[in-house]
Amino acid sequence: MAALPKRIIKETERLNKEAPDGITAEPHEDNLRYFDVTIKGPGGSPFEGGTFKLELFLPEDYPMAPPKVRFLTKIYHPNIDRLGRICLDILKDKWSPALQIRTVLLSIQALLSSPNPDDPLATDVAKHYKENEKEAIAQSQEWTRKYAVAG
Amino acid sequence: MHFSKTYSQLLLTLPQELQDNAIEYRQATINLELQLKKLINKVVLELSSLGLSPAVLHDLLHSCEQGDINGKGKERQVGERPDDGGLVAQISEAGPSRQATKAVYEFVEDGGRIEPRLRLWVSTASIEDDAATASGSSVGAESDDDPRVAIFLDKPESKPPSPDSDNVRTEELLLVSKPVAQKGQSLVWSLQKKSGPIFGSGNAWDSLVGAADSDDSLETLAHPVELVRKQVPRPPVGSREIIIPLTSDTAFFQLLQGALQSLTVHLDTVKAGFIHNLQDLSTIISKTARPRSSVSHSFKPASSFSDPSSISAGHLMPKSLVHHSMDTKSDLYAWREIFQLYIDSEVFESLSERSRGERSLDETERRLSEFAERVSNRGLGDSRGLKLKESREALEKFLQLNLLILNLKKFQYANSEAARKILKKHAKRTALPIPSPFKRLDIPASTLSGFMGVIPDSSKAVVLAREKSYHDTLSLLPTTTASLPHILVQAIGETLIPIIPHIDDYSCLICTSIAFKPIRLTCGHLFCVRCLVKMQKRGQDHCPCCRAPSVLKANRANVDWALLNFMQDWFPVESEEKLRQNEREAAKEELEELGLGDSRCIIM
Ligand SMILES: [Zn+2]
Ligand SMILES: [Zn+2]
Repeated sequence: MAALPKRIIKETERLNKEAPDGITAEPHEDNLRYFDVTIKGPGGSPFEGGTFKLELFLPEDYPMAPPKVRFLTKIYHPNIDRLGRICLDILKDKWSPALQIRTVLLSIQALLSSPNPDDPLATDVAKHYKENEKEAIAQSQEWTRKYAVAG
Repeated sequence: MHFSKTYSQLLLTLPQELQDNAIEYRQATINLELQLKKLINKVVLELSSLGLSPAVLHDLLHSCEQGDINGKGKERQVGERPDDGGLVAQISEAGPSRQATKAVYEFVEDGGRIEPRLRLWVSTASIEDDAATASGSSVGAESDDDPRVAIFLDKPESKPPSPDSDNVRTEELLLVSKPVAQKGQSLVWSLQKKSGPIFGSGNAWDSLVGAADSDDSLETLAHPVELVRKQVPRPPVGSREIIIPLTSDTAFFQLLQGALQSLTVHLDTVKAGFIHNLQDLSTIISKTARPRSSVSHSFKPASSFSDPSSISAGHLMPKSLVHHSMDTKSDLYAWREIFQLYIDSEVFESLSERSRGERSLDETERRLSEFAERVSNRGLGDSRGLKLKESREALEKFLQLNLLILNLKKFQYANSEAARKILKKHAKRTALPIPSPFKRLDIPASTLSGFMGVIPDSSKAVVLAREKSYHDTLSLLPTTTASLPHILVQAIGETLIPIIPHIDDYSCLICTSIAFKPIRLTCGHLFCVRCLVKMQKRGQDHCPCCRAPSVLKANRANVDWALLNFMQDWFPVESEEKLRQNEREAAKEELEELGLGDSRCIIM
């Protein structure tokens, strides 16, 4: 395998040294471009109390191309579909090579705090959120308890 | 000369100016402590002779908080102790005419000096009502042999006397005059008679006590009474106000204050010496860490007239040659490495997001010696790393300055510990709460909380509630001493570190290597040529920083020549390395575009 670019080494070092609050990201030993990620549900959100697992992969042309990120833990969120794919502009057309793993994970954490049903990926969840927000939030909370709380 | 040996020698020998002072100061501190302890004893004696033994005083200060300053406290206290039949309950039942005696420990500022005193309110009604029936044990050792003044504990009928139990404060507390004093005469009058040796010159005392009866004459006093007026609650109805200047206590605080002020002067001298040394050091390091252009004849600055293709790895010297030419005349790279190690060591202050702030003494000491060890291990402390003799001397001086800060921290800690202990002793022996300005001494939060534990809760509340009114006296106390190590650490960071440009300030945001060759986009943002070529090939037009459409139109006109020269001057090795890497990458890409890339073509 080609040598890891300096930038990825630096980013990994910093994530290891001082990860943002409620976020962990550790590279696989056999593939340093593949990260195991956890994000804690932000306080005050329907995901509070849950710890969500994600996978993050840095493609060959990173940082020219954005990292690929996916939820592994089931989550009831209008911008995250059944396969864990995330609808977030900076992961697609709004990506900039100046952004980092760190900023991406912080943005995902922020997305948990403020779901956006107007730009949905999971249309059924978005519909639920628009028509009966209270019930939808309860559903998100239930899923959090069911899938994102250990033990 | 072995470096680590030098370091341990340095540890043993403090910089001379501090060493001299340390010995001198140690002796002075021992003397000071003795004097302060003697004064505390005198304060206790003085108070006891007024019938204000620590136990009595504690209750008086306590009742003040209950009754007047903190109305809520009164109710809370009653609620917390439902079976409390004593003082607390009586206050709330009796109403304004039967307020119990209260006391406030206050400080006035007189010409830059702090003068502590006690303000008492004696309920005249209580005296008249209860004087005749007063009986029971008197408290305060001194009051026994002085018949003119006594403070009695009038125990409620329902409770058995228990002078030794610690629920003294539940018993009704009254100040009464014994039959010897004329009936109905105020305690002030009795106290007045008792003046003399304890209060020094009787005149000042007389005028004070005499003045306490009318508001008008208060204005004529030497003390800035208005200041005090604002601080204290209105005296309860039907009570007399007595102000007792505390002579020994004044002497105590003046001695302490004087010691703290001379400490400030001393530290100012240390600071001036430090800054002077730091500037000297800055000059030496600037001379020994010169850029390539000043030590190599082969350095030719490029400009927009240069043929861009001539700026290539070949144009720069081979790496070994760069090192050679730098090594003999400049220690630029060694100093850069030393400073990087120093920054990474975070010796005095943590810079991480989680635990920002000053480090503990032990931690600082550990980190400083670790830093010295790393420097030594990398051969940067001797002629292997630092070729110039001046550099080696400068490194030693650099370590000395750091040691001085460490020793200053130790010195300061010892001082605040000493002040803390003597104030704690003062509070414990006299029952007078610690005045808030002294709480701002440089005392670590952890010890402070333990410290606060020894102060009775009620008096703590009084002091805290009145904290704001102490702002005037606060200005009298040295406040700069607390942060001197911090100031000096900052001075190092601002004076020495910037001598050598840091690579992070010249790196490309995309690849994080040095932005060589540097291309300045029309939006003003700077990237390395390699990353911009990659973006152009992908048709990405938006600047990674500001999203302005400036990438695709960038061309040779966007080369920042001044910066390019600067980079070759200060970062010759990194620039060359980056240029070679750019070439390797470009070559690999060309092959891939031709379908000859290493891995991808195999899949096809
Ligand atoms: Zn770059
Ligand atoms: Zn820009």
